[in-house]
Amino acid sequence: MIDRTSFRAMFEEYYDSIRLYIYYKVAEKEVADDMAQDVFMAVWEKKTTINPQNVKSLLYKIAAGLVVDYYRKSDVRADFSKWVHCNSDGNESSPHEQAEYKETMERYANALNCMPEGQREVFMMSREEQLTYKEIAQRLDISVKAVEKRMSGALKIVNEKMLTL
Amino acid sequence: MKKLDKHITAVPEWDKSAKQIWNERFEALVTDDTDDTDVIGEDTDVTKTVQLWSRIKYIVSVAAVFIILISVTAALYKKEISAQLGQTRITHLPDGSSAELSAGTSISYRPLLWMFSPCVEMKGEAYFSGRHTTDFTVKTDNGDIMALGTSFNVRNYHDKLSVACIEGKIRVANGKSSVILTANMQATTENGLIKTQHFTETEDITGWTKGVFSFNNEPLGEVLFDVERYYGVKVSTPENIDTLRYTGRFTRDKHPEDVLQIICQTYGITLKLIR
Repeated sequence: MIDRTSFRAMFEEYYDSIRLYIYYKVAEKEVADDMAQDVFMAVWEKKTTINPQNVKSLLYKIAAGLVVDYYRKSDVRADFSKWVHCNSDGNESSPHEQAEYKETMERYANALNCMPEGQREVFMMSREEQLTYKEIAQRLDISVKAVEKRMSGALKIVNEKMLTL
Repeated sequence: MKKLDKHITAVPEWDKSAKQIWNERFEALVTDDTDDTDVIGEDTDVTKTVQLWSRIKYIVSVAAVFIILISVTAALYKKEISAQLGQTRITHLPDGSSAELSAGTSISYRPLLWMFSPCVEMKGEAYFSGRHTTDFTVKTDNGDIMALGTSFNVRNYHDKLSVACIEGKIRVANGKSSVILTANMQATTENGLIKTQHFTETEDITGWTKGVFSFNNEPLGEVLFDVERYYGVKVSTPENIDTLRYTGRFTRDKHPEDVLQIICQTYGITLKLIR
């Protein structure tokens, strides 16, 4: 059973993460936003039967399920190239530096696109949200060992894509 | 080439923050749902009450089944009293009256149903005396005896029932017919018919209760049957004794061999004890 107060607290704590999680999987901003709201709607509808103890991993499970449904309808590949950007001030950098940034961003997007979904979500949760392996493991309801394994796989792809000419 | 530094990110800039989304979509939803929540709360209470009720019902029905089982078992409980061969035995019935059992006799009754049916089943010979409950009945294979406050002797062997009323009044019934006996009357059933006759010597009937066995013109076969029973022995019965009748009296303290000796003398036949 989840009451209004705990639902609100849960929303505030996890909405951003769930939205990101979906985004890591589908690489679509709008889709991620809509779907994240659907996740919380689903939880609210089932509030009487949900045990607040394991709600964290439940949110991720619902989200993953919705993504599976989404891919069943459309088989577009996740493409991060339009989203990767640099959030530092580009004004001070020289045109040469800007060109270098551009190439790095392209390579990063390419690396993300090449990763299997499981590796990517773990890698991005770690890099973009600075979550610990333990925290990632809890949210996805997998072991820390599994997180480490996916991370090493992801880093291998990153190194490969970033360093090769 | 630049290293992948912390400024480079794949996370897009969201159009709306989590807070805005909450306010736009979820705040209203959660508030609208308040009544709903209350209803659900009530529902749960109702469910709980229903669960509690079904639990109570369950417990009550289990208890009821046990009570019924126990009372049926108790009601069906049958007390059986029997006297071994060679001895008599006095027992008291729930109404305070007494039943004296002749050798080899057994009676049984249901103590807990006594109030509803004061009924004794009997095999053998017994002497019932004292104040009996209304409707006191002795059941035998060959007929029933209803006591109307009295003393009486019942003798039921093979297919012959013989009832002697010593005091008061009794009714003997065997499905087909019934007779009322008053003091010093005896009823015998044979082949389903009830015959009544008067007797004068009470001792002949109830003597066995005092250790005196009297035979008044009884068929010899029956006399020997009683001797076997009273003394707890076996007698080798010769053939062709159907026509012989015997009259005599013995006491319990006599030796069975002497008893046989006396009977033999009368007819000039040989009777032996089987060991």
